[in-house]
Amino acid sequence: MASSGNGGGPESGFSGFSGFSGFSGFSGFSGFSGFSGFSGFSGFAATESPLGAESLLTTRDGIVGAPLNLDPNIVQGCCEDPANLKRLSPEVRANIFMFELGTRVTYSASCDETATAYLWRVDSKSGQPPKVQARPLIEMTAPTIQQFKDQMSYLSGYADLRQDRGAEILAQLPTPVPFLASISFLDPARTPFTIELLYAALRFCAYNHMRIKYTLAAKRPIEFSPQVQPMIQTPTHGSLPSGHATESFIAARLLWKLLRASGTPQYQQDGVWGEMMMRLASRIAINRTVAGVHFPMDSVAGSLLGLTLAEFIHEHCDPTAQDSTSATFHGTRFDAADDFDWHQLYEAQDDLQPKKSGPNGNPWATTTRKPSKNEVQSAPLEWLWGKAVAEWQDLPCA
Amino acid sequence: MRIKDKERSEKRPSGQRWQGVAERGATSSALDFRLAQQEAFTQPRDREKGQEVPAIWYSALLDLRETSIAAFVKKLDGGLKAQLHIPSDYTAEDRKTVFKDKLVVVFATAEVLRALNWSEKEYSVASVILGAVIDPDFINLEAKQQKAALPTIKVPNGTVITAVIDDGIAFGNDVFRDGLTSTRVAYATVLPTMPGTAPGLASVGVELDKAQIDALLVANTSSKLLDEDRFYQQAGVIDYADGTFSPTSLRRSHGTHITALAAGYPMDAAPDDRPILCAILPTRVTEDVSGGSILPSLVLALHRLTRQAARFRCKDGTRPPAVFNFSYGNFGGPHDGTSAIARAIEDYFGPSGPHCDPDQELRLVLPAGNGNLSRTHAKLAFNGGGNRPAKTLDFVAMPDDRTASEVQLWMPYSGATPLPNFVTVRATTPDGLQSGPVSIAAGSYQSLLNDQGIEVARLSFAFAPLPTARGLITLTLNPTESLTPAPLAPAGRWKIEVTPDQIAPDEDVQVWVERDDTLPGFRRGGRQPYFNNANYERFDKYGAPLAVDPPGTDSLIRRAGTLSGFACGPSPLVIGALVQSNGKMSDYSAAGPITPPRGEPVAYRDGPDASARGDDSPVLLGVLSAGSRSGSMVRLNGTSVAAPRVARFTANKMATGADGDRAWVQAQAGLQDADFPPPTPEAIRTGAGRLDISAKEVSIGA
Repeated sequence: MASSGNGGGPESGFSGFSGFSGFSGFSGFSGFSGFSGFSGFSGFAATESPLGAESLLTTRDGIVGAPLNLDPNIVQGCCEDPANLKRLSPEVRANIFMFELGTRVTYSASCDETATAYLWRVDSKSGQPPKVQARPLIEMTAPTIQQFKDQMSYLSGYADLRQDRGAEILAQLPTPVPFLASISFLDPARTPFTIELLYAALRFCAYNHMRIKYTLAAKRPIEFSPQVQPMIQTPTHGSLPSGHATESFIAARLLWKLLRASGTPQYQQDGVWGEMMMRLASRIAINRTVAGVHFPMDSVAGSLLGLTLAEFIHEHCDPTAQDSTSATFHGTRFDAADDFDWHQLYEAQDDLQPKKSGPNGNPWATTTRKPSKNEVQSAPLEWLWGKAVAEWQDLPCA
Repeated sequence: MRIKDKERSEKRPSGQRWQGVAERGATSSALDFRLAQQEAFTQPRDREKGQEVPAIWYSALLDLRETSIAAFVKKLDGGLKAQLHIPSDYTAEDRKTVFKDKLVVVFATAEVLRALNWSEKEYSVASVILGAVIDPDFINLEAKQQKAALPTIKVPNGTVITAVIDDGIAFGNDVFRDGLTSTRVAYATVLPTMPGTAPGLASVGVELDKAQIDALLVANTSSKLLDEDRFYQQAGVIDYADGTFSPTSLRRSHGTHITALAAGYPMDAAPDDRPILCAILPTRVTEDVSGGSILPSLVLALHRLTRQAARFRCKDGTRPPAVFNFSYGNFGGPHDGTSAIARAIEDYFGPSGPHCDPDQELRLVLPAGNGNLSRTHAKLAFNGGGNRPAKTLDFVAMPDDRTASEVQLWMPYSGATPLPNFVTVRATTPDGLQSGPVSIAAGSYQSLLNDQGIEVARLSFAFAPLPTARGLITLTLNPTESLTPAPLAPAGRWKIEVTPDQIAPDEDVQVWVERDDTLPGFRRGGRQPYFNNANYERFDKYGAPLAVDPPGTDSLIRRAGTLSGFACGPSPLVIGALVQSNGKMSDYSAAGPITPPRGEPVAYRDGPDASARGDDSPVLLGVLSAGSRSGSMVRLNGTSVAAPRVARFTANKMATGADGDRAWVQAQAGLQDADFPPPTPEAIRTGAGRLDISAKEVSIGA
C-alpha cells in the first residue's frame, strides 16, 4: 500500500500507481499517472537545475533595473481560511488533510489473553483548543491463535482460485481507486477532488491500521504452514486487520457517501451503486486470502475498521453529517469456521452499519451510532468535501 | 553429441523384477490391484506411526445378478454390513424387487469391495466397478430409504424438461432464472457437498428444490443484486474450508457453460415451459491416486434426475418429455455398447429399461469425445498367413503423473468355453525388463515389484462378464510421482508386445489407454499417457494435424475408434464437433467405428449420430456461453459444447411433437448438412450429417 503520511509526502503515495504500468491493458489508466501530471508542471523543472537557475539569474540581471518602492496596497493573507487551499499544491494540501484527521484520534493498547487496540476520537470545536477527553472510536481485540489455526483451511481452499485471479491480485496491490473508477466515473481530469479526498482517507487509514496491526501482532498465514506459498510477497506488518480490506471499504463507503450527497437522481433511487462498490471492496479483500497473505477474519476486522473510519471522516467533512459511529471487534468471539461476509457489517442501501454482527447474545462486532454533534468538522476537510461532492452533480445546461 | 556409446552404456540396475502368479481368486485382478494401490499411497506413514489405519471408503457400482438389493445386503455379515451404505434414493420398492441384473450404487470400504471381488458368486455380484475415494464424512450413513411418491409439479402444455449432469453448474446464474429471485431450476442436487446427518436427508450431497433455491436467492439479494459467491456458499456448492473444490468458484466452469447452452435464456425473456433439473458431480479428489471413476455418481445422478422428471405433469395430464445432457467422456471400455455405463444409460433411457416410464419420453445427448488426436487407441489385426509376428505398442507413461494409468486390450468375442487363447501379452518396462506372458486364462497375471518387493504395476487377464462376455488384458501402472514416499511405477517408454495365438485373421484386439488427465483449473493429478509408435503420422505435408488416419496406414495407432467409451450404447444421441465457419470437423472430435456387441453382426453405431458447432472458426476456437457469474460470457470448445446445443434444439423440437430420438436427429442432420460447404466429412466422425443450429436458437445472454 501507499506509504503513510509524513516522510514521503503524497507523491510516494501516488507513485503506487506505477504498479499499474504492469497492467498494460489499462493503458488508459496511465491517465492516473497524470497525477504525476503535477509533473504537468514539469515546465518548471527546466529552471530547477544549475543551468535553469543560471538562466533565471542572468535574465534578471538583464532586465531588473533600479529598485522600486513597495506598493502600499499589499495586504495580509487571510488566516485559517479554506479559500487558501485552492492556491496550494495537492501535495501541500495532502499534509494539511493528514494533520486534520491525524490530530483527531489518539491511541492506547492492552494485552490480555489476546491484544486489544483502542482508537479514540479527540473532538474539538472549531477555533477552540482541543478538549483532552478521548471517546471510543474503535476497539479491536485479536482472535486467539487457535482461531487463526482453524482458518488455515480457508487458505488452502482459496489458493485454488489463484490462476483465475492472478492478474487482478497484482493490479490490486497498490490501491483500490482504479477499480472503483471502473464503477463510478473517476478520472484525474474530471474528479480531482474526489481522488484527493479518497487518498486523504487512504493515508489516514494506513496511519491507523498500521498502528493497530503493530499492537495486535497477528501472524501471517505464511508463518503457520510451509504450504501457503503466497503468490505475492507477504508484507512485514501484521495480518489482522487486513489493510486492503480497511482501505477498499473506506474508499468504497466514502465514494458512495459522495454520490449520495450529490443529490444526483441516479444515485438516490436505490443502493445499487453502493452495493457494487461494496462487492468490489469485498472482492479486493478476499483476493488477499486467495493470494495467501490474509485470513478471512482479517478481512472481517479490516472492513469493520474501514467502514467505521469512513463514517468518522465523513463527520469531519460534512457539517450535515447525521451520525457518529464507534465500533468494537470482539475477535475471540468470531467463529473461525466462518468465511468473511461483508453483508453482516454493512447495508448499502441506507449506508448503515448494523448494531450487532454475529450470533445473538454473542456478537463478534458491535457498533454504536449516536447523532453527530456536528461540531467536529474541519474547515479544510469541509472545503475538500464540498469540491468533491460537486464533481458528482450533473452540470446544469445553459 | 553422444559421450558414451549407446550400445555399451550400462543400464543402472533398477532393482525391479516381474513376478508371475498362476492363480489368484479375485474376479478382477485390476480392481484388486487398485484397492491395494490406494492403501500403499495413502497409508504408509500412518502405519509407521503404529496408528490404527482408517478405512478407505469408495463409491462403487455393483453389478448384481438374480437377486434383490435387500437379499444382497442380507448375505453380508454384520461386520461388512456396517461398512456398506445403500443410498437412500433406492426406495423400499427398489430394494425388494428381484431382478435379473442391475447396476447398483453403493458406498463401501475397501474391505467390503475386496470381499465381493474375491467371492463374487457368494454375494451374487458379477463385478465391482470402482468409483472414487470418498471421505466418510461426506456419506450420511443415517440416511433412510426415501418414500416412493414425490408430489407432482404442474407445468404448461408443450413443456420440455432439460436435465444436465455436469460439474460446477452455477445454477444461480440469471440465465437460469425467470425473475430476480425466481429460478427455473426445479431441482438441483449437489453431490460433492457434505450431506446433513438427519435420516430424512440424502445419503450423499444435498438436494434443493425450487422453493429452497428461491429462498436462497431472496436471502442473498440486496439492492437488486444477487451476491452469487454467498449464494453458492449457502447452497453448499462452494466451501473453501472443507477441502473440496468447486469450478463454480472460477470465472469459467464447464457445467455452467454447458447448462446455459442447453437451457439458458435471458432472465427477462425466460420461457415457463423449459424447466431445468441439474446434478452437480464431484470433481476429482486430490487424494485419489486411481484418478477415480465418475460412474457411480453418474448413475446416482440419473436416478435422482429421472425420479424428479417423473414428477412433472402438463395441464392436459401428460408427462412432458425430458432431454438430458451429459457432456462427459472417457477413452476406455469395450466400445461395443455393453459397458457398465452403457447398460446404466439403457436402464434409464432404453426402450425397455427397468427405470423407464412408457408415458414419458426421455432422451440423452452425449458428446462423441475429444480423443481423436490423443493417440490412445490402437487396433491389432494379425491377418498374415503362417508365421504371424508379434506386434508391439510403444506406450509412454508420463513422468509426474500422480494417478494410476491403465491400458485395456479387449479380445474378440467368442462363444467357446474355455475361451481360445487369442493372444499372449508381455509388457516391458522403460528399463527393458520384460514380463512373462499373460494369456487368456483366468487368474493369469504378472506383477512388477520394486526393490522393496512392493507391486508397482500389474498386467492381468480378466473376463468381462455378460453382456460383454469378452476377455480383457489390462496393464495398470501406479502413479509415477508422489509427494510422499510411495511405490512408484517407472515413467517412460514401455512396450506392450502382443503375440498372436488363436486369433482369427478377421479378428482384432482393440486397445485403449484410459483417460488420465488434469483439467485446466484443477489441482495437478493425472497426465495423459499415450501410444507413440514411430509410424504414426501426426501431421500432413503442410504441418497441420492430420485428423483422419492416412489411407493404407500400417500404424497400429488409430484415430478411427476413438469414440468416447461412454457413447457406444444404442439409445443416446451422440454428437461430434465441427467448425462452424468452414464446416470441417474439429480436429479433436473423436471417430467411430465401434465393435458389435456379443454375437451381433453390426455395431450399435458407426460413430456419432450427427455433429454440431464446437468451434466458431479455426481462429475463434470454442463457442460463447455463460460464465459462472451472471452477466459474464466465456469461451469453451470440444464435443462437450456441441452436445448441449443439440440438446436445446431437440428440446425445442420435441415441444412441437418431434420424436427427438436418434433416427430423428440423424434425419435432421441429413437435411441441414447442405447448409455447409461440401464435402460432408466422413460418417465415422460426423454421423448422418452436420447440424446447423443457429445462434438464434441458442440465444443465451442479454
